Amino acid sequence: MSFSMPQTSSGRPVTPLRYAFRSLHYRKGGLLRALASLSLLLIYLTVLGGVVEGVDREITELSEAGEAPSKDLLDFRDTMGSWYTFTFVLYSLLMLFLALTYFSMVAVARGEESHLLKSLGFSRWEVDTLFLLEALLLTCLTAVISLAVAIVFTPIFPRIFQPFGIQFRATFQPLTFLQLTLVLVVTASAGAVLGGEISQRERRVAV
Amino acid sequence: MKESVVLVEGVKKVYGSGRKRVEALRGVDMEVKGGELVAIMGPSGAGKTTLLNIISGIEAPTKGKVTVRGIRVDSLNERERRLFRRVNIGYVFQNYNLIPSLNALENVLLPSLFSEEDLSERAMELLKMVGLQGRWDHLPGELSGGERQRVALARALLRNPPLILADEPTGNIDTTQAGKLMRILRRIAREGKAIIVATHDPVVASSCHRVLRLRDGKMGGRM
Repeated sequence: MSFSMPQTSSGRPVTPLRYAFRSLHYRKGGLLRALASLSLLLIYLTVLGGVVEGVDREITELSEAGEAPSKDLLDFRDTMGSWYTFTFVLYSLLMLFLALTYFSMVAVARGEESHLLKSLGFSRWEVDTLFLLEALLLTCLTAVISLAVAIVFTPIFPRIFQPFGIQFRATFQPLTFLQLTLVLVVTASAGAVLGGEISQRERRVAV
Repeated sequence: MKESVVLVEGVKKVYGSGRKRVEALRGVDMEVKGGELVAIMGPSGAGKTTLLNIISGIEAPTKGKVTVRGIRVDSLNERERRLFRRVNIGYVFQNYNLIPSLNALENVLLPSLFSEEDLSERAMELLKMVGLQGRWDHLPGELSGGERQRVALARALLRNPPLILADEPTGNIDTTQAGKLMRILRRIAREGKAIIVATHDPVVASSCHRVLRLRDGKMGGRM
């Protein structure tokens, strides 16, 4: 039987970077869910933050012009402000919880993979490099997609709030960057929130 | 006269201490020469895997000497054992331990992951040797148990190690596939490699050149 050598762009079929890419590609179902949920979360937090800051700005502008802001506007800011803080903290905790769950799952699911690599003679540093490279790639991908989704969707929200008489300017404000940082830090430290399917799928398919 | 590849002398391995002390190996002696296919038989918990782990340097013995091709494995530090393993040992696991996201060829090439050396041609030759040349681009999930184990064997041979250790290699595959795998192992042994197979299957053991029985951490003699 004849067979042909596989053609690859870099010459070597397996490199640490390709290993990481393949690993991500293999888990693309979980990856898409993670990206979708992170993007939605980012939009949600951005909108809430934007509303609070938009109202704040309007109150400041009215005060500077010597006009008294209406009671409705002040009430709205107070209610939304506290609600925003509560939601922000709640989501932060949720994300951290997901990250911890993910860590535990990965530790179980990929324990054998790690053991195999060590038995093949790889150092701990080399094994860590593979997993960190994968986390880094995923984090970059998540950041780019989340940012793109936020940029595309944020301008839509001022139109939603216009009927209520609120001048909401959804630009990228400090709060938005705070949220982005939160998403990135948690995603980076967790290696990514991939979903609960990984461990079972890994066990079922190979190791 | 054939050269001694593995020499194990008075190896003991103790886990834990006090009331939790478990003696996994209680003074094991054995020798395996190049070209030999040796089975270590024994029930679960007899110490087969521990013995293989000590020979390969994955674990250190509590007492005794382990020499592989003249290298005293028991006196190496962790880093030296790792480098020793890279060059001298090919390991085949019961549950294949293939990376699910890599295809058969990439799995065979795994030992060269951090190396600049391109061993693709050798990997393809090895896949051909184990009868899987037409399936190099298949993921582990697309292969049968026997095929996965043959990929794992090809991976163990990539760096042309003088010693192959197989821990229950036929434990998860049917008898036809097991027979095929044992025929390949015999062929590899004929090329001069030393192969140690840990098994509790008498059929597998009978296809080896020599059988050693391990019971309660001690060698119980030849069969």
